[in-house]
Amino acid sequence: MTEATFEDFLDLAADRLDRATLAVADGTTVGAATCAALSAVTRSLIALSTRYGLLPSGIPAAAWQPAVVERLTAADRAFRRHGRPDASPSAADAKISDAARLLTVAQDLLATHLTTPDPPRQFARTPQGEQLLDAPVRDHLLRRAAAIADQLAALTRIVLSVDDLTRRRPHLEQAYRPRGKDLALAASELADAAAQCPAPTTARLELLPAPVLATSVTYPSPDEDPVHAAEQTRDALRRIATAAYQAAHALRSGEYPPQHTAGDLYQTATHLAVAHTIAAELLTRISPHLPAHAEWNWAEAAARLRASGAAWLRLRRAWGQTVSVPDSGPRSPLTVQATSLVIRLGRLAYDDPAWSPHAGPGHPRGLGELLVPDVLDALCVTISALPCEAAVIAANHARLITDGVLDLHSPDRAHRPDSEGRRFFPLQPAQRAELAVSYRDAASASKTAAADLADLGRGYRTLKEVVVTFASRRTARPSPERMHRQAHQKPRQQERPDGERPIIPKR
Amino acid sequence: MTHVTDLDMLIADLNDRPPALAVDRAAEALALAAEAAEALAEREDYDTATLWWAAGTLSSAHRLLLPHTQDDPPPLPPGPGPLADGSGRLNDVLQATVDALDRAARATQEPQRLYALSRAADLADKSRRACVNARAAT
Repeated sequence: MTEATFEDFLDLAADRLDRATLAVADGTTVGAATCAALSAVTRSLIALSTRYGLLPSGIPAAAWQPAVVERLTAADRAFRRHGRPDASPSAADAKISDAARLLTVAQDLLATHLTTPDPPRQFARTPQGEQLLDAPVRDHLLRRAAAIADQLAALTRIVLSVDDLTRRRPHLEQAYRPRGKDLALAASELADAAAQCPAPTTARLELLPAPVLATSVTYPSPDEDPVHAAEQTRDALRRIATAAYQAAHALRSGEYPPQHTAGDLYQTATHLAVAHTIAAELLTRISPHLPAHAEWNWAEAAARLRASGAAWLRLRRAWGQTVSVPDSGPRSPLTVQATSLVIRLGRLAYDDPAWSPHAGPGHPRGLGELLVPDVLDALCVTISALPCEAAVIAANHARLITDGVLDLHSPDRAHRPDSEGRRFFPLQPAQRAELAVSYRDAASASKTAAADLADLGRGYRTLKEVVVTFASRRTARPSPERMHRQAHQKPRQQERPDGERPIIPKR
Repeated sequence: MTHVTDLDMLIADLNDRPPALAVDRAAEALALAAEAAEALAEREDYDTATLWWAAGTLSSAHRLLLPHTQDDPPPLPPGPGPLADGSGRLNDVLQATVDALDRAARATQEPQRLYALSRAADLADKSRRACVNARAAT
């Protein structure tokens, strides 16, 4: 089951508005429910532009944000004068209300990454939430709100054109605020709100809901469906990354960050090392069957994954003489998740439904099974997600060590202070430094691999579409000779005997 | 005659069943419609490219719904069946499917299910319009 991102919900809301436009154009009755539905969408846009159009400090993320909110508020006022939420909605009204609901759900998704949705004093609860606090992301969200406002303005104009209230009840023409006049005002305000945006955005904020850390974790069962296994692997990675972030950035929000120990970090490092190696192996096998593009070098990306695996493996040595007292055992949720992700990746790569890391590299799974489009899609997304989340995990685990959040000890007797008879001794500065450097190397290697694999995260089908689109554009583009010939023929072609410019038919 | 009754029952189920149960029938209807669009694409009096696109889109919608069905999906139909007889039944079935999915989406509280049902409804609606246009274009 592919999880929907923030942008997916926004796209869906835009599609709903398109469907509503078609339904209105097909001839629907405009009524109080239509105005109420249009008002609901406008209010969702106001919430989006206010909550995410301001920086956590309360300053607008873009200079044009206040003007957008002001115009949207004016449009909402105009709609609300004629809206009645208890009126019976037509099919078109229901679709407009759907769009409002989808916009709300999209914002709920964003809110899962923050302590409070309303600025000021927003804090991130997840690594992605931290990006959400930045000005560029907020600017992007404002632009998306402006694009939907533009679509809503077009819909309102169509609603206005089919509204026959004054034909049915001519006396209402003389009302203090005729509905037609307010709908025209709302359309104009919405168009003005959209016009504040300097340029539309083509970027996409592919943000998934924050993982729920409180859900129970178990080891995978044998014979798991490959697509499900890939999804669970991504989920485990996100949960480990979020747990690490919350532990490293403890917030006084009443939430208890997950407890980390030396054992958890050691197990995570070991399993991530193996996971990178298996992912490199999988990528090497499927890469000949992935779409080819000049910008994608999957062989190099696989080499980078192996290098990341080696960097994570070096952490084993650094953790060799470091413990927490008391330490967590193999049943610690973090350790179970780290182990499970390797087990799942291994079972995807090897032809053994009960594979475990102790078995070592197994017989490769049949290529035909990996090339099923759904499986290939899931594999591409998972392989891309691994180094990306691993980089976040490394950065936050390093912070746990350098900031002294973790209570770490050395069991090495050589580190025993004079006249002390304890079994565990304070961690030596050199040991702490070695851990910090090793984590920095692992984070850097994973980040490099993540950059190389960023496009793979769009999934096999999308990559295929990208290549097909690119190829068709290249085919459509005329050759230099043809362009030269056309440039010379242009004046003669455009000239008509009567000296007028030719009429270009609309396509 | 049996086929017609089956289609009538399918449309009745889509219209009358509770939203959660109608999703199963909607998935079935989408699979049937995809087969029918593919069969119609082979015929001379239809626009082939449009119908191939519609068939692919309907399959995507069907795939989106599968994780949200309650029962195991029935086996795929062996052929297009009476939906491909060109009598407008395809349009009726798809319209009923879109309406059923819209209702089910409105009844759900779970965001991922809401996305899947709404997206499937949008894809089915686009395909329905494409099938109508594919006939009109020739």
